[in-house]
Amino acid sequence: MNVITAEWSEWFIVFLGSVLWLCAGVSVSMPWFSAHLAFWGRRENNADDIKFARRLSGLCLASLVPVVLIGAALSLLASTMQPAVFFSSVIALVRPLGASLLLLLVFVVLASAHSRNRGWGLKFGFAHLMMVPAGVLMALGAGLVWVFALSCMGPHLLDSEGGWNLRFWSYSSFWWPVAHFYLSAFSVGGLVLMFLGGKAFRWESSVSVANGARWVRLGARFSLSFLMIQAGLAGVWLFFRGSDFMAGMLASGGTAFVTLLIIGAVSAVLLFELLLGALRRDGSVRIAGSLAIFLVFILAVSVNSARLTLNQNDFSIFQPDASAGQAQGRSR
Amino acid sequence: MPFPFQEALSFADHLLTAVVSFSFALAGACVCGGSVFTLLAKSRASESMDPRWDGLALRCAKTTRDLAARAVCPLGLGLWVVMMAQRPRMMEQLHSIFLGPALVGLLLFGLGLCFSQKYISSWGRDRHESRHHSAWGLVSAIGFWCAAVVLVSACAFSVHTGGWVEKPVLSNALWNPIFPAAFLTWVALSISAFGACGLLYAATRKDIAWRVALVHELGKWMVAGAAAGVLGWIWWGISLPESPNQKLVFWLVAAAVAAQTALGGVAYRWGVRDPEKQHRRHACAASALVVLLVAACGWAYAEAKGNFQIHQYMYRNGIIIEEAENSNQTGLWKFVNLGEPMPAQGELGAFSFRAQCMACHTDWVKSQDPARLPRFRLKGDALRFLGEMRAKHPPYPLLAGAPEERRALAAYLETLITKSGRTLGKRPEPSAAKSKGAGKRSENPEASKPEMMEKGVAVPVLSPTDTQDAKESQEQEQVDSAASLTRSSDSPNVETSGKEEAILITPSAPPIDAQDGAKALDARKPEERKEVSPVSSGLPAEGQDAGSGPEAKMPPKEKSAAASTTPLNDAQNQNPESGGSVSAAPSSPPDDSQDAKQPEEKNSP
Repeated sequence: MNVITAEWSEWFIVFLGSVLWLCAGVSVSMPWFSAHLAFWGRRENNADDIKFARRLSGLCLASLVPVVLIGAALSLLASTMQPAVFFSSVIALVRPLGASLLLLLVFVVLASAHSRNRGWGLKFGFAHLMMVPAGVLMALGAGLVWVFALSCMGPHLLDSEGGWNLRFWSYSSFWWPVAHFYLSAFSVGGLVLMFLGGKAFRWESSVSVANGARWVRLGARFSLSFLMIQAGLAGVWLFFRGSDFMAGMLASGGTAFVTLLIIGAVSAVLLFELLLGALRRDGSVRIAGSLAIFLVFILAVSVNSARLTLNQNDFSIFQPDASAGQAQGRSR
Repeated sequence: MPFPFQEALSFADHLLTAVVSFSFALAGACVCGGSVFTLLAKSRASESMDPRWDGLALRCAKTTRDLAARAVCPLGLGLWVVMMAQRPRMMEQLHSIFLGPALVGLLLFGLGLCFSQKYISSWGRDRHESRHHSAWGLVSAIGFWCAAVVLVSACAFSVHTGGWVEKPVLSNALWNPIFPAAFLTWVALSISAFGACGLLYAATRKDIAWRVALVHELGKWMVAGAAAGVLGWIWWGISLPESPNQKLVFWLVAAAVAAQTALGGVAYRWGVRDPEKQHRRHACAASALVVLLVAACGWAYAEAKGNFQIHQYMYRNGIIIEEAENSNQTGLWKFVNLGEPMPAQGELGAFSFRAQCMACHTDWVKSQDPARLPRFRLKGDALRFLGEMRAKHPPYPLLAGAPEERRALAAYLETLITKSGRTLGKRPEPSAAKSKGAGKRSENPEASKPEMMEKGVAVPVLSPTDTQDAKESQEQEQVDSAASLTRSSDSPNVETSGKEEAILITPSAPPIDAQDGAKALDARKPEERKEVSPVSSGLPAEGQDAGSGPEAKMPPKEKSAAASTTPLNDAQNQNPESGGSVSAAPSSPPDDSQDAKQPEEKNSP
């Protein structure tokens, strides 16, 4: 009864996956930005920062909704396209998934209490620290869900007998995607800070322009730093994979892969320039945040599309042992 | 990678599922009801001079939004993950059938949340454009209700597939026979759930006039909801297909009707007629009745499915009925493992048990208590029983698997028995009995019976003097086997193997033969057979190795005729109902929520 053709659904999955990636990044990074602003706002007695921190707490709660809904939609599609892999992963990782949901529930409670400025944290004077444990919980929960997503994409990461086992920890190909996920989460979080700070430049905004510019600068610094770390780690990862892996990738992907890589590279360069420009102008850029989010979305779509072209040619970047021209595709 | 069969579920698994599904149902009902009450309060606010109605509408909208985002989302996700881990086959099928509506439902739920946020954030700002503002609320409510429709339809479909089995189109799946009644019940539950929350809120108001007005308004809608609920529950009960748990389902529906009626009575008495006398205890009583309603709804849903996970399509153990037919010929291992080499007999038997039997007979593996295991006494009894599944185990009349898988499963069952400390006796040699009864074969119709269904396992040919004893002992075995295999837990007073001989067999027990039970079933009325096994026409007759030889391809009637050419048919035909009564224990399989706890079944027919 699946009326969606495989090819059409894979592109739809890429689009949804990119949106999910951005929303998940916001959910993971916003608690930390909120904790940072709440802490320094209390220390420097800056009411605007404290209020902005509560707004960020509400935002990370709101960003969970598209994460849940889009994640559910992608899981539905995956379960119909590759049911054996998907359900095996669910059964094998049901306890970590359950743990991540519990962590999520506690996170919701903490973030709600902080965003509404109520609860025991406010009473005992450490409301500004409530988002730290919330951030830890969210990071752990997201990590566990990311393990599940990896197992769906690379079934060899799970033991064939199922069960919660640590086999995937031993694969170096596991740690790179995890590091990539967390670094990109904080990069996206910085861009969201820029976006929210840029709203202060609207004439009807109640936030001062100076504060808005300060938040834009803060977001740009965070985003630029994490993007640079990410780029460096990507280079190291490619270096360790070897030239054979890169040659295999280029050979498998073909023209479409190269085109998408170029689009991704151009987006990344433009993003870097935008962030540097925002810092040079002391944050006085109104639409930098919107442009940056658009560019990072293009980057995410192009990177995921490039991976899709590789998968369509039976080349998986999650293979444990990559060698020249080795085409270990996922089972279809 | 092979598709995973569901694993055995412990009591904790069932409890977790029950708690999460209960919470999700309650939260979902409150969201749907809240969206409706928001609009009602807003419309009342536009008619009334009292500004508190507007404040109430805003509070309802915020509560609905928060419940949807912070309760329904994580609970729904949790329930979904738990169901996928516990019932992978069922969820796989439901995903593939309801993929489009599910994606649309998710989208509409998300839009409902977005518009709900827009509705709340623009409150007070768009007063000059009240229609525009109200549209946000209306669209939000529609989004939530459309998402609920998809869920209700999927749940109703698993209870009664209707015409979908014959014609698998999406419209048949969405508009299944139970759906209208189930949706009406859901409407009533939503109104009642949020109404009870509203009564609790009203009970905390100190302003008496405001409290009375609020309670009166809530009471009116809750009475209407109760009336719809009573109608919906009765309609639902009537629309259900027949199942072994029909009595229990009847009582659950009756309890739900009673609870709904009581709720309507409370709402009318202390909401509509005398709202000024409404007290906090009335609100608590209403809340308790709502909790009872949700619990009854979930329990009835679980019981109504009976022997199926998807009605007439998938058995309780996850085997799809159509696939069972194919896997009898190709073998269950090959059917699901796609090219992986066949394992040794031990592993094959364990796989077959896990795939087909574990869902209901978890305790056979988890506990080493010999009393819980099937009461086979001789080697070969297990294999014979598996050949007579249709007669001896009506809840699951088909055994999917090639001959070697059946043998492996029988060996696995015998291994479980021997590991528990019991011993299985050796079946007497056929040659000894044969020589004894050779001269009297003409007087003994059973002696001229052909060899039984499985290769290498021969039914001993008995002399007339042995026939009666053999009959009684075999009847006893059959009754014991059926009794033990159709219930998941035995009573504390269960006999040990030493006392099994003491179980009496009533005269109504049929003559026992390796193929009697199956043939008796074939001689049963067609409609009886149809209930037990909807795919009956293409199946091989019981008593035969389903996957072996050309007989497997013969229609059942011809197979029966070919397999039994003995006068035994006369005896069997005289007892057309014997096939059903051989499985002495009423086959009431464990329910989904607790497969380990079933009342004691009667031991004798």
